[in-house]
Amino acid sequence: MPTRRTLVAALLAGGIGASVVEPLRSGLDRFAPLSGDVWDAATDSVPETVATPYGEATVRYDDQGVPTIAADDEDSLYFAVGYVHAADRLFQMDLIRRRMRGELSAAVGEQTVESDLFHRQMDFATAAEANWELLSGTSAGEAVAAHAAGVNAFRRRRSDPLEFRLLGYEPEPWTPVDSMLIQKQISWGLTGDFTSLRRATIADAFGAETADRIAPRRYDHDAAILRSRRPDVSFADGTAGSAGGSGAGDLAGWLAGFEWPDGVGSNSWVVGGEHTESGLPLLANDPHLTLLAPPVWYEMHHELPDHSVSGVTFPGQPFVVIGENDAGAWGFTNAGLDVLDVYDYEIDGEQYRYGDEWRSFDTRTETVAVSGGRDREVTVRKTVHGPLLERRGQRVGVAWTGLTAGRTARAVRGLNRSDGRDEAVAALSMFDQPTQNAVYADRDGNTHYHVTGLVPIRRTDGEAVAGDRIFDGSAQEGEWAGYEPYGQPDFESDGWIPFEDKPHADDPALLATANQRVVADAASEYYLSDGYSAPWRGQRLYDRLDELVAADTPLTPADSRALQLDSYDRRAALFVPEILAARPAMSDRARSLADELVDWDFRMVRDSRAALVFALFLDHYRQRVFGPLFDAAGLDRELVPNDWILLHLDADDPWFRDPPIGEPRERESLLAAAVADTAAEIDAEGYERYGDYNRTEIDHPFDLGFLNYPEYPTDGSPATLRNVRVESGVGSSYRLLARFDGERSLSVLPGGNDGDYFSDHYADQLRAWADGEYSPLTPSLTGSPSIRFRPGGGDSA
Amino acid sequence: MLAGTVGALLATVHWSGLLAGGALVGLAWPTLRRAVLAGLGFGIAVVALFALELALGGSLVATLRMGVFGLVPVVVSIVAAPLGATVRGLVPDATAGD
Repeated sequence: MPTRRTLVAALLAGGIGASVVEPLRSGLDRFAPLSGDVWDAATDSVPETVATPYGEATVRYDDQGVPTIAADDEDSLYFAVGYVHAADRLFQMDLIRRRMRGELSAAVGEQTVESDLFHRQMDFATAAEANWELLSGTSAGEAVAAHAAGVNAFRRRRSDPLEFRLLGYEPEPWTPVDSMLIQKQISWGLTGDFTSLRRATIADAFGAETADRIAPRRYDHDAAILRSRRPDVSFADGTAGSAGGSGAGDLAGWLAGFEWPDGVGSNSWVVGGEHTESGLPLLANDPHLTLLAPPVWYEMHHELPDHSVSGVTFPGQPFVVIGENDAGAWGFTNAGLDVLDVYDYEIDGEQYRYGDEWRSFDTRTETVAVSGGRDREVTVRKTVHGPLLERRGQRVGVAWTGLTAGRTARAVRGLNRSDGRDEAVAALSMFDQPTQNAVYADRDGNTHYHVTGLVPIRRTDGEAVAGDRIFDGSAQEGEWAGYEPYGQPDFESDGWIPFEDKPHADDPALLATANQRVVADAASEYYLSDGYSAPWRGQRLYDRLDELVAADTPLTPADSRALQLDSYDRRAALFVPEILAARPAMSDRARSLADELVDWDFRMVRDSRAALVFALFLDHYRQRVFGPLFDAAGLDRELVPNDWILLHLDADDPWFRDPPIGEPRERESLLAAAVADTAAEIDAEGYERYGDYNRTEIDHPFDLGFLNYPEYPTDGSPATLRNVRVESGVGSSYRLLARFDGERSLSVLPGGNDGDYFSDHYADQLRAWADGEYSPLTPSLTGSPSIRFRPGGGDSA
Repeated sequence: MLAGTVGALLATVHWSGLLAGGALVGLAWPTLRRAVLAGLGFGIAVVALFALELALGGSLVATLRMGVFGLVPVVVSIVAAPLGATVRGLVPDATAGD
């Protein structure tokens, strides 16, 4: 008989961890043949008929498990959407709401305690409640409620997905507030950004002058989204502020763990009919998010009598977020606007000074349950600005637009229902969180670009100021008028940039967004951002689009596709000459490796050896250039500058010649050493070409081998339009190529639509994604439905 | 045969059915050694039935890919059923020794 230890060890072999220590009996309940709970997940199937409290609806799946939901009215449709979301992604939905509520540890145990502590301090849950309060009573609110009822209809079948059975718990009922949390998650991921804290931490460690160079606010380039004829003046400003001396690195490093990983961003472009072969616009979007099993997005088609929509949804929210309807198509990329401010206070015990008065923190003690472990207590404190984040003695207050209620669900519903550009733009004006670059095009040839979202005009003593520093909250610096954390904001307040004044373009003939600077600071009346993404992709996009437009032949959908799959890496174009110039300083082995970069076309394709060398070199070079100094300063290596800074440090830069810590170094030696490191790594790992290293490594949250996706070699790098970042598992989480000329738009998901491990559609699109292929975005309108929703029964809750 | 069928039915409801099924099958044999062998046969039959159930549900391959997790039901069955059959050892043999 296997001992308890060996059986438990078998259960734990994949790495769920000590948190899932369960008595033997419970293990047998789950894994015994025939009776085992886990195997029900292997043999359950979705029933053909489901009772609904609303009207009829049908679901038809295509050969990739992408469903088409058809109904006569919205509530009936969204009930079915909720049901299907649950059938295919319930565990993912539960995981997200648990993460945002700070209740992960209750399900999975010890290893998520830090995450729960952070999410409790931020109290996203109360913000989501405020959002629901604003939304309920609206048509969008009814849709969310119908969707939740659909989720619960599935949940009541007790046909729980495999992951629940492995962990041994059942999902709680789904509520509209949970749907609001889904939106908070994406908003946080895209705009929860502690750049000012990070910059202040670097300034504390290395001095303000160094910080201005290695953590600048702006990059020098001419490819802003809204290009102008004026030079893009860099935004020079004073101090970064102080993060509060020692211990600050700790807080910044800790918070960096809750920001989404480097590389989260996206591409989009819109080309007007005057430049295209069809005379109608082309639109493309590929959001770069964490690549997960199952994917962040869930693809579907919605069919109503008065409109049909196709594209991707977030499981847990009813509407199509990126996609197309009968009238037009739209996409989003992260704008990088500054919607989060950090505050310092004079604190005395449980009080902080705010202006002339002393106020008490709004304090609450909560318990974080830990499955298989010791429960934790966390004290949640709030100031007038929002949550007080605490870490090893350092405390800062945070204001973030996502902590206040927003109308985004109404905006997305509006987009789904829009009958053209004007209605779409009206919908976008309510898209409060997250701030995004929105592009739109319709069948009549209209195009539009608009920055969306609440953007605060922060003021000190009534004067507008930049938000790129830590504010003295006690002195009432950086105030956001109209902002109400955990409540309803005043949307009409002069504390927000008006929609008309946000950067936008009416009927642009050509516009591309890739998270780069939105508009030159000198061309903007308002402070917008304390840092955009480096313009590797932005520059490449505009270079290629300008070339295509300048050439005599009009743009075709094939051009759009080629652009989305472009793997030309501008980092390589910039820096390979420097590597080659340093060859005399290299060892023989390193030099022969560097020689492989000669005559390279700078494309990061999986069959390329040069791409392999360059990709590995970059990581080693970055570690050698920044690592020792950041370590010596006690700073987390998470805080090191990005490749734009790294590769623009010329040999005479003070970072080498006169460093803030340690002895001067020669850039050439560091270069040579990095190539040597690369050679060693290539030999150790046995890599031959880029695809040996650059593979899809898309993991399920459990990181159990069989639940992770297969690994496929793929083209692209963190800096190319065709985007993939192996180290942090980020990349093009969806690819959409929209066209209006009668042919189908194209799309692909990096994975499978169905989160059910036992489904044929668990990972069936991944290879196509890795190979640069697409499928037509075609609803299934004929054939007998997989599921019919019959009225007269079920609960509307 | 009857004991085996009853045992299999019990096992679909709860894992204790593996023990009970093994016991039922084992008790039908004259000696402990043959009882345990019969129990093992029952355990193997349960695994085959399980595999069939998965195959009918289209999940056999996916289960095989689960590695150690997919192995647990096999181990459990092949251990529990003969274990159940050892109950035969509590009952005096029909013939003395074997």
